[in-house]
Amino acid sequence: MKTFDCDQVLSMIDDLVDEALDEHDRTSARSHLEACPSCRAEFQAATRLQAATRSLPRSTEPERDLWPGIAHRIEDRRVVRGEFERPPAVRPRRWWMAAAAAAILVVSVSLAYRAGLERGWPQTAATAPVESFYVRAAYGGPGTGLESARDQLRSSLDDRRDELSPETWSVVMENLLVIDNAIARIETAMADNPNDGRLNRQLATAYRQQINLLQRATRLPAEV
Amino acid sequence: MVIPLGSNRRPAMAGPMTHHSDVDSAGLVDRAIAGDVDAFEALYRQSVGRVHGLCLRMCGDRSLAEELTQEAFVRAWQKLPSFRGDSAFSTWMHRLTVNVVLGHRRSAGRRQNRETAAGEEWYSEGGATQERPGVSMDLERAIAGLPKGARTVFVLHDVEGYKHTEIARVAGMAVGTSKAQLSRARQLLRKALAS
Repeated sequence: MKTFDCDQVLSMIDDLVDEALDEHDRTSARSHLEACPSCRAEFQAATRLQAATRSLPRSTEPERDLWPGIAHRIEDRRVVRGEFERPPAVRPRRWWMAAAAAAILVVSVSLAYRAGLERGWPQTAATAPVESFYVRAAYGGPGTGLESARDQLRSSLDDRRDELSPETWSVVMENLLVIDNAIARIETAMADNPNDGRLNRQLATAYRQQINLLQRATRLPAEV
Repeated sequence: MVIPLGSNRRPAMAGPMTHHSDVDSAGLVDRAIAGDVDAFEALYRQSVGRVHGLCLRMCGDRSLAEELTQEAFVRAWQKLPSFRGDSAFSTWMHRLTVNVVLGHRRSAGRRQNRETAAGEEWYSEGGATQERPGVSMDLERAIAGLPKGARTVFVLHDVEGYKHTEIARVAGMAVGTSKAQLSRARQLLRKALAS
């Protein structure tokens, strides 16, 4: 049987508690614990922590009902739903998927913009500073400026639905859906590459383009 | 709005992580995929405690936890059409929530971090915390006071039962880093609870 000193045993405490040591090491470590009050106290503290952790409740109700806020966002159709095929697990392919998604949204938004110009979108909409909607340069997650700006614009667009033709409405919604799917794909790629600057920039670009599209759509002249 | 919806969901498999409510929720999931907001609200009522509990424990801030909980359900509504039923809805929702919280944490590095470092805010008010006397409350407070990286790994590994390989994948860190963070978290917690 091996003989462990205190440093060795203390470095094994986690594995000992997790029962991750092989039989020989476990036997040696336990032998040391029987003879060493200091290490035994550490082991007992680790065991108590494990027991306390396991007894923690897994569920904690929020102090207020969060459903109204969720319903507000999904019922007013500020959130575009769509089929999203998860990219395959092979990393190089994910990169291609994310890059392809970004390319698609660029093309899509460009087409929508061109179509809008042909339909007589006012120049003020095209030249208005989209950056005025940005609180931050990059996407900052829930509750940040980009998402808030998007929600406000989406709400404004919904208010104008009756003024737009079904064809125009369909083009705008389809393009929003393309961008939403692109965002979802980029976020999936980011799960594997969270610190990748290129993906972060792609995500921020996607949100900007979505806001850009919404801003222009909300300024379309009434058709109906 | 042109949103062709159709369920490509496979029948829910009953497994170790499948709860009775998951079997009951299968019909709700199909209805929610088809756009039934009432069904989605029922799914929300079933799972909000679990989702909020996870958010609260991972971020240590009550206000932010509510915000992330809402974001997780909005994201779930968006992505439900891609839910294939390979796992129970609760498992799918759980993973989605972890991704939402970690995604927020990644982006938080680029802006003002709202998460508490001292772990005081979580327990500064009443509510659920008052129902947790003694060691549990001390432990919750101590968890909330952990550094972010250590807290993430501790919650996912010791509370939620993730393996280090899974944590490494979802959190974008090496397996060795996950193990080191867990060891650090446990040491800090033992020290906090002993004092």
